Amino acid sequence: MMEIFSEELLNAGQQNPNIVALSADVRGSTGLKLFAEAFPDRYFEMGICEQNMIGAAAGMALAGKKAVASSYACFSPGRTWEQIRNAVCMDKADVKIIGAHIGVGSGRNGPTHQSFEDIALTACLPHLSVYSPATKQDVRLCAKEMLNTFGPAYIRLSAELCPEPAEYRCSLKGLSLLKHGKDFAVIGTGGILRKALKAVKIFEENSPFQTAVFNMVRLDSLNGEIFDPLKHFKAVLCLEEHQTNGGLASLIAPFFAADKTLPPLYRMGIDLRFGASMDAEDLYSFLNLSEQNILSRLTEIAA
Amino acid sequence: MTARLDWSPFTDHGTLSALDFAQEHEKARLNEIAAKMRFNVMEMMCAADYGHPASCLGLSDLFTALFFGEIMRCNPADPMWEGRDRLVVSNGHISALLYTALSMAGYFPASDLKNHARAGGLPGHPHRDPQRGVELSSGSLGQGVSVAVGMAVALKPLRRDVFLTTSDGEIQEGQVWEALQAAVKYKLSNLKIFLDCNGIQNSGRTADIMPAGDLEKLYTAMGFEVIVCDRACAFEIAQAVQKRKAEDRPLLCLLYTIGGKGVSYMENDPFWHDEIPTGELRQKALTELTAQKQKASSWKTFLTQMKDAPCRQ
Repeated sequence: MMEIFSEELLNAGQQNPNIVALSADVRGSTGLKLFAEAFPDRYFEMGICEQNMIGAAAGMALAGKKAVASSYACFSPGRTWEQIRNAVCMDKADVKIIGAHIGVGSGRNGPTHQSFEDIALTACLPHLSVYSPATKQDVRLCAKEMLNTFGPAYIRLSAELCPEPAEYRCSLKGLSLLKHGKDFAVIGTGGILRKALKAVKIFEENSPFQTAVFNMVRLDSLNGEIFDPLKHFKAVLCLEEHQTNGGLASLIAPFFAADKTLPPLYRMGIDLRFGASMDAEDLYSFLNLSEQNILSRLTEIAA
Repeated sequence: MTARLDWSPFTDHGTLSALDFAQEHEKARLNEIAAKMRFNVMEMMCAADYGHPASCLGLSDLFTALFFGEIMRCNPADPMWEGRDRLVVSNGHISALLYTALSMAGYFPASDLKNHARAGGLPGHPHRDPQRGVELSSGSLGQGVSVAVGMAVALKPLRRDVFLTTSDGEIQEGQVWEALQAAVKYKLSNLKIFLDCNGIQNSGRTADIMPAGDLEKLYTAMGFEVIVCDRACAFEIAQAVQKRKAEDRPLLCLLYTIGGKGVSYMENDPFWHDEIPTGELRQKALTELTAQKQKASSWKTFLTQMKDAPCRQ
């Protein structure tokens, strides 16, 4: 995702000379590489100083720039939450925050570098748009929207992409359909939806039920109507690479509780624990988020 | 008609010829404003039963220098004028002083100062308010320093300055050090930092709570052009800023102030960091500040009248 974002940022930077970018010693791995190379005068290496990076980005924005600030999600918004709250959101500064390597990341860096809490940290903030792309098209659309509109925004990126079918159309207003189905539905966010697609395929091969997969890309300012397409399913499984407390399931559950015409909602994510240092695929199993785990959960729900 | 005074006692002793008259007059003009500001801000805080008197009184000279000492480009009639310099008040707990100074400079009527930190009034910590000339919301210590650095980066090519106020308590925040490193790295000669060293903070004396060491050596070593203003009046602060030399470095002014300046029982006492006097003490504070205001006013009038004194002709 970072490479695609990097291309979009470069494009936007060519169109808009007001765009500046800042990073905290991680430009190469957080989506700023192309921009930094093309516009050295508009790229600011802030050093290992995430809090100052966000504050300075807010200052640049208040002085007329559109500032893009990138780091690993575990550090920003992880460490920079209060700077995002006060310096960016409160004054509606035109700052775009990139949280890279969300979720398990490479795995091997270990739990300090794994970000399972960023949705909880950002979706609660007034004035902040929260983008959580899964596919290539999502990343491009999110990048275009956030870089062409005014105001605070956060985008969470992972190394892994979810593949998209040819007819896929990303929506930044409601649900985006990744796979048709009529019995059960999986709703999720971020690159982990790739695992949902694989698990659903195996599930359908072994059961009579067809399962749809929906992608939720915008996580702020939700309203009940966007869940209308889910009404005819028997049950919905919410899948996320995030702590279940405070993540996607926490955001959408109130709508399911309030609307009796929506089906039962089950959730699947990280159950209040930290990760560990191991290969990413091993880590998904460790966290009960492997394709096999998703398949088991679907089977359980269908039974 | 004011009667022409007899200045002979002064002229006979050569006192007047020893004075740089224009300078003394400017000093008196600013001191009168600073004395008024101290009274006004104390009156505002007393009316609200809210505020931070120690630093508001201690920094009145600085805010007089900024808004009346012709060191900061601003336009009260058009607060968001594009050509303005920016004022970032990172130590946002002095909001009463910021609002008082803005009002005295003509940004908005003094009536707006009512109901401070209450419904309908101006907030207890500054909130971004372009119509009143408030550049950003502040009060979460450390954050304004980074914002000022970002502004200075963006405004340097436009040749506009960023004035930042911070304090010897605020520099305990790690973010401040991050920001100061960036200020030096990007050679922000348009960034002018005023570090209020009054030696007191919320829970007591800064030296006891978290001593920072020799600030002059520290900041010089980091790469700032450091100037020291010890108990300086507004005129002296403005002079010091105008005389700064470096063109490749940010300016850091160590402003040694007297917390609670002007109120005898408050001076240098940490108790008054955020405590508003009541009853007799409140009356005493306002009486003392009134007397100083009148004294400063009389001295300025005296010097103004001396323009026409026979000894100068």
